[in-house]
Amino acid sequence: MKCELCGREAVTDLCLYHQSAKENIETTYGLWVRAYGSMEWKTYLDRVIINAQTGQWAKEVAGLLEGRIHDKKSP
Amino acid sequence: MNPESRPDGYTLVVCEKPDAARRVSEALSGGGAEASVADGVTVFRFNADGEDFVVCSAQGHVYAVSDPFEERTVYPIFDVEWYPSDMVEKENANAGRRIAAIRKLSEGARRFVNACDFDFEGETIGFNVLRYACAGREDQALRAKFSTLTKEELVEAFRSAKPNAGQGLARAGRARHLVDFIWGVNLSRFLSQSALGSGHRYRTVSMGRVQGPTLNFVVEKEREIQRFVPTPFWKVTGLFKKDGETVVAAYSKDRLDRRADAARVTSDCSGGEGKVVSVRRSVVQVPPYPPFNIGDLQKEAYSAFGFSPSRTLQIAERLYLGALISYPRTGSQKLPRSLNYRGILQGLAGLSEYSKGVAELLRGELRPVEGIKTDPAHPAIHPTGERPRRPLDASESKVYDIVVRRFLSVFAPPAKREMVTVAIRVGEHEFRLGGGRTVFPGWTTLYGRYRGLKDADVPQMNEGDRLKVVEARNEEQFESRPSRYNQSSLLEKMERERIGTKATRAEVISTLVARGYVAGAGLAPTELGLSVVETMKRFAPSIITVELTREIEERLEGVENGSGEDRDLVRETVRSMTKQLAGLSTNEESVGREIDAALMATVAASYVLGDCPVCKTGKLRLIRSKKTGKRFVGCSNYSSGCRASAPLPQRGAIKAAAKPCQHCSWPVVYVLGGGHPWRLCVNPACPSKGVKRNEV
Repeated sequence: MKCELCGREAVTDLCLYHQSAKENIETTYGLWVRAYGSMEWKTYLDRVIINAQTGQWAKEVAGLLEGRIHDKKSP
Repeated sequence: MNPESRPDGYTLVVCEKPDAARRVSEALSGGGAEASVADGVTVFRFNADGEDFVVCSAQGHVYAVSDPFEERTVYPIFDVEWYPSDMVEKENANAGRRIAAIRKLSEGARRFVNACDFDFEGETIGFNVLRYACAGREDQALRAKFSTLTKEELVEAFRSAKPNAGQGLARAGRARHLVDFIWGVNLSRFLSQSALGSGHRYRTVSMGRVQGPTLNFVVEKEREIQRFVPTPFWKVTGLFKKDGETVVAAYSKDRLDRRADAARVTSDCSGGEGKVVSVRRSVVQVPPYPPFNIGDLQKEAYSAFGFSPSRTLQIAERLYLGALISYPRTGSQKLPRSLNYRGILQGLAGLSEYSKGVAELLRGELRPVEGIKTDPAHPAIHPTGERPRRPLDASESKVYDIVVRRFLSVFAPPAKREMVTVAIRVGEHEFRLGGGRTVFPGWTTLYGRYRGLKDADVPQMNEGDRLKVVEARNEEQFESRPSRYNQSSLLEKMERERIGTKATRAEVISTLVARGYVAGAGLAPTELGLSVVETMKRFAPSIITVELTREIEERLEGVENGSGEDRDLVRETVRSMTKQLAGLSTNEESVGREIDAALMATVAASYVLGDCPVCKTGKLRLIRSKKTGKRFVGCSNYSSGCRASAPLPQRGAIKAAAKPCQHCSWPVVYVLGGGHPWRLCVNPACPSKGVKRNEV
């Protein structure tokens, strides 16, 4: 199976690099929630995407995850 | 008189480089050496104290390790031997002529002196020439050891030359070449072959013993950067009023991890009053930096001038051959007492830019500050005090200046700084401000231009002073993602991890760039670099970890100091390589597929010129028309309907510029070949071109 984002060999639905970025996004969410008191998952993803310090693979994964939220909400 | 006519023969001195041979001849002959060229080798002949001398130079390695096979696809290869370099390296085509010339000279010699640079490489060059070109004279040859090419040191080195003085280094140097060849040739051939087996044309995919772990450092860093998600934090600062002046102080905790905590501090402090609870003043001494070893010089030259480590090494070697500085390939931060400090300083006093500083130093006792690193072969890099015989070019002048100033500064007294820290309490919260100023410049008068001490004044305050809080503000910030290595910081990492040698680290980094594994000033791995590391990690992880290569370095040190056997090390390398190759061979197909895909992706990336300003989502690429063979620019979204395209010049290599055109956002390229590179916006309808035409 190929990575949904880059076409490299996938380990899950993502390649090794994007999978590790995904894990990092998930881990860091807890830190953001603690930092701001509360934060929606979607808001978090939005802010991760526009943050200049976010790595490229993490941005790509955040975009994918955000798209999935959008798809779920779509009729 | 012709020395070759003497029945008892002459002394043949083997140097590494022609400039060194010239210096040795001048020093020993007192300036009366006769130079001639024999079969491409410059030879100096003279008589000194009744003894005839012939001095020649090998001009680098004239022997190289290789396998007996012509066929590049054969592996594994373990039966390796030393061959004349012209038989194995295209770029060393003249080595055979040089060997023949030295062999001829050796026939009339009765005494031999090895005067190559005293390190792994120099010892290996000298040993091989004496063994193979001079009919096995490596044991009887005397070893002249020196760290500078000044007359005094060379005369002393030849007076005290001893036989077998560098045999440990030579054995270790030769073993290093054998081990590295076995390692590199087998892995590189395996990788290249497996990629070829996956379909596309042959391309060398190399992997060396030090190269693997070094590439892994770059890849690991890139993974860290690209997966990075910053976490927020808050910085609180307090603005206070003191005698009409605004004083800015930072909250005692550098960062607050919760927005609510930051808001509470600012709310508690706003409109309040602060009280100065402590004012601490101290005078600290800042000692000078230790003298340069090669790694420190390379890092400093990168930071001061932007010179790559390999460029700095080349320049330093030129300065050494000009007898201006000591031997640069040293790990030492020590300046032994046997060096004539005063003599060197007196020599430098003759150079106007240093005369004032030197005069000051010569008035006191000369005791240098030193670092902890040592090198048994050479002292720290230092100037010789000799005047340049030729004008130095701009880059040589810079490196010479930094070496001289660093050397001078180690004899200078420490700088003195008055440091002030003030604590201001506002209720339960504390703010701090600090500063410092230089009260005695010490060594900074000599080296301050490269390592200055910045002053930051703190307003006069006393304990008990009351200050009104003008404002307490908090600022949301995010952690910064890690920085990529540059050539200097990667070299530092290699040093810290103890892989490679002081002489080879810069070259390993250059090789990674040349092989297309890393690119850019901030070193980023290419798709190929990523893939090679990932493949190794899966199938032969030891190859990219530091442990194995560090262990080999330690064993090489053992060979050098006599506690280990070179044969055992080579045997162990063969055993280890067999194991690694077995792991790789059973997965050859997967390895090949991954490397081949990465090769294709790297090649494809090199054709991308920039983003498409028309469809905004595609990439403008260099395309060659199948019909006409001509090249042009086209969009990767052509199949989706984007028709953005542009013609390109048909001659010269095309290289994409870092930034697009500021007028139209189309890519800008450099057309290389012939004279100066030609900068061109690929958009034929670019407004900048219109302006030019109208102007004409």
